[in-house]
Amino acid sequence: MTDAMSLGRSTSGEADAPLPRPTGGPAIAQRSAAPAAARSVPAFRGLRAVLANRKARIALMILVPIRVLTALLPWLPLQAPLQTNLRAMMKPPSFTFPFGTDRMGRDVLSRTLEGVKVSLFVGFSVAFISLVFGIVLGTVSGFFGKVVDRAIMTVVDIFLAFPSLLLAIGLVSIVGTGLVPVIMAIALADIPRFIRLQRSLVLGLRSRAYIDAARTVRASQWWLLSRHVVPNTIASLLVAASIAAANAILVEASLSFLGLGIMPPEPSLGNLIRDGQTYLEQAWWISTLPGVVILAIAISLHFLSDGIREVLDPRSRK
Amino acid sequence: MSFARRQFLSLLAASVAVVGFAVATPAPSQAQDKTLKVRFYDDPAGFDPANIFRIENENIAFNIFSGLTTYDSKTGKIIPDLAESWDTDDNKTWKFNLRKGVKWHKGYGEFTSADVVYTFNRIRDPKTASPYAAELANVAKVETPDPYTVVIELKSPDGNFLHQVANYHQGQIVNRKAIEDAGDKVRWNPVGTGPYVLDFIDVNSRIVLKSHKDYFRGPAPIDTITFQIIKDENTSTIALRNGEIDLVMRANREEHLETLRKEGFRMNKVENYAVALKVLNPAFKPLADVRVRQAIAHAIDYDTINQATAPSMQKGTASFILPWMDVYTDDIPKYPFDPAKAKKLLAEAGYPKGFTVKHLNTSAQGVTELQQFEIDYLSQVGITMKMELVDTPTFNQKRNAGDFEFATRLLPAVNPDTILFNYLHPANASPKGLNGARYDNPKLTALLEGARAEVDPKKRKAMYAEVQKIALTDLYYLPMYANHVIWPGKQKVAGVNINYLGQVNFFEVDVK
Amino acid sequence: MLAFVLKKFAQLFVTTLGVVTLVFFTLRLIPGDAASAMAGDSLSGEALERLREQMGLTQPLMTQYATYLKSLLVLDFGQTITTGLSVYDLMKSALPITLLIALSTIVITVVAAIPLGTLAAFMAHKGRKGLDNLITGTAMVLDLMPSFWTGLVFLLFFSLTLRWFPASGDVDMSDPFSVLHRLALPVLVLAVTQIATMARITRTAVLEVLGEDYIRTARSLGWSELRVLFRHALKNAALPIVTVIGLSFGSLLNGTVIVEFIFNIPGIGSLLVNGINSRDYQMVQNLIIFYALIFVTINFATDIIYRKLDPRVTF
Repeated sequence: MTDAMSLGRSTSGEADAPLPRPTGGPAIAQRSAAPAAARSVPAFRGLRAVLANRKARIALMILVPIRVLTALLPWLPLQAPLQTNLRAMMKPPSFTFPFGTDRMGRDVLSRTLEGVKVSLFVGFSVAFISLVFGIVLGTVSGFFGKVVDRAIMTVVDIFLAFPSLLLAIGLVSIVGTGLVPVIMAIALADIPRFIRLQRSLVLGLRSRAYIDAARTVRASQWWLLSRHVVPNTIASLLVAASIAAANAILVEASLSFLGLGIMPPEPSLGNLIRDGQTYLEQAWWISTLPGVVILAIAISLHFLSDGIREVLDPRSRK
Repeated sequence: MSFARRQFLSLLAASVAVVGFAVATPAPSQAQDKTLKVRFYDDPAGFDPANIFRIENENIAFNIFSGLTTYDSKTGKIIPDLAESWDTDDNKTWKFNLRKGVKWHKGYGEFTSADVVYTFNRIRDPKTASPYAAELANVAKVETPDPYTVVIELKSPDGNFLHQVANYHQGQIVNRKAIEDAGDKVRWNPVGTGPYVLDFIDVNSRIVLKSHKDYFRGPAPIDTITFQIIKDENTSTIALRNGEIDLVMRANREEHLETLRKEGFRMNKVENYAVALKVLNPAFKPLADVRVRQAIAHAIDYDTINQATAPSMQKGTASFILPWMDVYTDDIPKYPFDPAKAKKLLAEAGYPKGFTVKHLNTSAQGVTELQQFEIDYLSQVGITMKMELVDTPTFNQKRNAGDFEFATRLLPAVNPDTILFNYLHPANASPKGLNGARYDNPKLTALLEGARAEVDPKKRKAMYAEVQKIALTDLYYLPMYANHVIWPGKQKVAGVNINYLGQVNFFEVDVK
Repeated sequence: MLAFVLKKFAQLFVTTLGVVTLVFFTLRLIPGDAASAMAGDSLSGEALERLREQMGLTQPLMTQYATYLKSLLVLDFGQTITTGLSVYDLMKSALPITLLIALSTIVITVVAAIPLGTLAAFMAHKGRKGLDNLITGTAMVLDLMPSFWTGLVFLLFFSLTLRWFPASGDVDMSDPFSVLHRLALPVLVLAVTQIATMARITRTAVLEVLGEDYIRTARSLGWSELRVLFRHALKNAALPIVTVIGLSFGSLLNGTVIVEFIFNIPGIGSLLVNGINSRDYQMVQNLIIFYALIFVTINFATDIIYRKLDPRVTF
C-alpha cells in the first residue's frame, strides 16, 4: 500500500537509492537528459503533450467528472451529507439513494462525494506543500552543497529513519486529529523524500554543459536557478507529486482507520470505509462503494503520473 | 549471480511450507479440565487494589480478592464476605466478626484481623499514594480485639460505610507478606482469598486464572479461565461466532448485538447499570442561566434517540439515581420533549436566536450517533452544537480541569451517595473532583451531609429525595440515558450474573 | 570502500542520535500524560496528581532526558510507566512475532512477484498486451487497496465464512504449527500488497533490460527464450529488485502495525499503538527508536549491497 519508497519507485523505474548518491545516480542522469529538449517548451505546450497521452487522458476522464460532481453536490437532488433519516436506515442502493444509506439513514453517495472533496483536498495540499518545500530545500542543498547540504541532509536522514505511516501516526498524536493536522503530518513525512529527489536532480544538472556555459558568462545564481535548474526538474517532481497525492489519500484513510484521521461526522473516504466496515455483512454498500471510489482516484493519479512520465521520457512508453 | 536461482528454490520451499502447514493445522485441542475463554477488551493495567483502574481490571481483582462485605450479583444488596456478620449502634463504631479458616492463595497461610488492619493502613498511608485513600478518610482507628474481630471507629457517622469495605478498590483485603514479597511488582502479583488465583499473565495477549481449591465457599466450578485480549469489537464478535472464545466481556456495538442475538447466543445483561449525564458548565455564559439549561433538556428527545441508536444498550431516563437503588424516587422535575417551550425559555433568557456551544469528546470516539442526533435536535431551537474532539488523555485532563462547555460523565456505583456526593458536593468541584460544573448549592450540600449522618432510614430517604429534586431543578447535570451492560456468550455458559458495578463473579459461572 | 562504509557509519550514528532526541522531546509535547491515560474515566484532581508523582512524571524535562540517554548507552530500556514491566522483556516477546510476519511476507513476495513481473515484462516485450495488462492492472489495484480494507475482507472470508484461520488467540512461539496457523492470514494480507508492488517493479526493470543490446546478442546466439529471460535479463535486472526488497521493509513495518491491529497479534506494532494510546513514553520512545534503527540499518545495508552490485557506481 502506501509506503516509504512509493515516490522513489515511480519516479524512476529502478527506485531511488536509499541514501544520497553523490552523482545523483545513473538513472536520474538518464532521465533528466530526456527533458533537456523540452527545456524551452512553454507550459501550455507541455500540457497539450500530456493531454495527448492515453493514460493521462483516462486519468483526467475519471478525476475531472468526480471533482465536478463534488462541486455540484449542493445542487444535486441528494439528501445532505450530514442529514439523518430515521425512516431510511440501511437501505440498499436504489434510485433515490444510488449508493444506499447507512445506519443513521444518511445518504452514502452524498457522503462519499463530500468525502472525495476532503480526500482530494488532503491529497493535493500534501502534494503542493511537499513540492514547494522539496524544490526550495532540495535546490539549496544540491546547488550550494557544503555545510548547508550536510545540515539539510542530516535532518532529512533523521526524518527518513521513520517509516512514513509511523511518522504520521506519531505526528498526529502530537498535533491532534482533524483536517489541517492530518495534512501537516502526511506532508512532513513526504517533504524529506521530495528534498532528496530534487537534490539528486539538481546534482545531476550541476555538471551539465549548459550550466557551465551560463556560469562562464557569469550569470547570477538566481537567474541560473530560476531559468535553468528548477525548470528542468519540475517535471520529474510533478510525477512524484501526483504519486504523493494518491499516497496521501491512502495514508489519510489508514489514519482514519486507526482513529487518528479526520473525525466523523465530517466525512472523508477513510472514515466512511471505517464506519461501514462493521456492517460489511449486513450492508456491504456502506463501506465498499466509498472504497471503490478511493481506488479509482488513486489509480487515476498513478495513471496521471505515468502519463506525465511518458511524455517526458518516451523511452519508458512500452 | 547464480545466487538468485538457488535462493529462489530454497525460498520457494520455505514459503510452500508456511502456507501448507498453516492450512493443515487443526484447531488447538481441548484440555481435560473445565475451561472458559473470555474476551478481555483492553490492556491489563495491574491488579493492586490500592492502585487499580478501569472496570476490566477491577473485574479480575474482584475474583481474586475478597472484602469484608460484597455485593449480591442479582440484587446489588450488601452481603457478608470475609465478615460473617457486623453491627453498629450509631453508624460510627462498626464491629465485624470475621470468617474462620479462610486460606490465602499460593500458601500464604490463614486470613486474620491483622490483614484487615494492614490493608486499611496501607491504603491510608500517603506513601502508597492510593487514589482511594479518600474513601477511608473518615476512619479514625481500626482495632483488633482478637484474630477474628475488627472494630472500626469513624470520625463522623456514615450510614453507607459497608460500601467502603466491600470487595471493591480500597475494600479488597491484601496480605502483608505477599505485598512485601512482590516488591515493586505488586500489581502483577495479586494474592487474595477469592475464588480464583492469578496463574499467568502476558500483558500483550492473555490473563489466566485458576480455581482456588481452598476457597471458603468451596472450589469454583471452572478450573481455568483464560482472558484473551481482543480490542477490536469486530474481531471479538467474529471470535465468538467462530467458537474461539466462549464469552465476550462487554460487547458495545448495536449491530453486533443484533447479529449475535439472531444467531442464538445468550445475551447476559444487567439493566440500568449507570446513568450518563451531560455536564452543562456554567463557566460558559449562556449555561449560567437555569432557563437555558432547562430549555436544552426540553429540546432533546432522548427517549427517541436512544430507541433509534442503541435500543438494546440504553434508554432515556429522567433521574441521576437508578431504579434499583433504595433512595430512588420518581417524584422529580421532568423535562418532556417540547421544542416550543425550549424556544420560549431561551427567548426569556435573552437567547431568542440561540448560541453556539462546544461539546468536548475524545477523538477515539469521534462524534457518537447520539451526539449527531443531539446536534440535529438542538439546531431546531437555534442552538448550534460543535464538537471539540481531542485525544483521550487530553480529554481526561480538560474534563477533570472543568475546561469545557458541554461534556459527559458516567459514574458506575452501587452506593447512591457516591454518585450524589461526587457530582453535587462543592468539595469535589473541578479540578479536585468530578463536580465539573462546580455546582455549589448550600441547601443541597447541607442535606447531603445530613443524610450521611442520619440513622433513621425513613428520614434519610426523604433527605435524598429532596437532594434529587433540587439538583434536577438546577440542572447542571442533565440525565441522558441509563445504560445496560451486555456480555454475549455461548448458551452453554451459565451463571453470568453481571452486578451493578458491571462485574461478573466467576464463582457463579459454569459451563454446561 | 572502507572509507565509504566508515562515512556511512558516522552518518548512521548522527541520524540515530537525532532520532532519539527528536522522539524524546516530541513525545513530551503531546498533551495529556500517562497518568491521566491510565486512570481513564474514574479519577480526577488530587488523586490524579498523586498518581503522577508516583510515576515520576513531575521531574524536570532535562533531567528526564539525561537519565534516558545514560540508560540507553548501557542498553537499559527501563520499565513501562503505566504497568511497571520491563520494556526489554516486552520487546523480546513481541519482536520475534513481528519479524516472523515480516520475513515470511518477504519470502512469499519474492517467490510470487519475480516470476509474475518477469512474465509480464516478457509478454509486454513480445507485444502480447493482454496478459501483461491483466497482471499489471491487477497488481495496481491490489497495490493501491488500503491494507486495512483487504485485512477486513480476508478476516470475514477466511475466518468467518471458510473457518480456515482463527481471528484471535495466542501466538505461542513454542508451538510452530499453531503459530503458522495463527499468522497465516496477516501474512497473506501483507503479501498481497507487497507482491503487487514488487511485481510492478520487476516488470519495469526486466522490460528495460530486455531492450538492451546484449540481450539481442544473446538471442542471436540462438539461446532459448526462457534461458535468455531468466539467465540474462532477470540477472541484470536484479540490482533494482534487490534494492526494492530492502526498501520495502519500510512499507512492511507500516503494514505490520495495521495487520497486528486487525488480527489482534501481540507484536511490536501492537506495543506501539498501545503505548501511544496510554502515553507510555518509555515504551513508545524505545519502540520508535528501535523501528528507526531497523529501518536505517537496512537502508545502510542496501546501500552497501547496491554499491557492491552496481559496477557503474565508483568509490
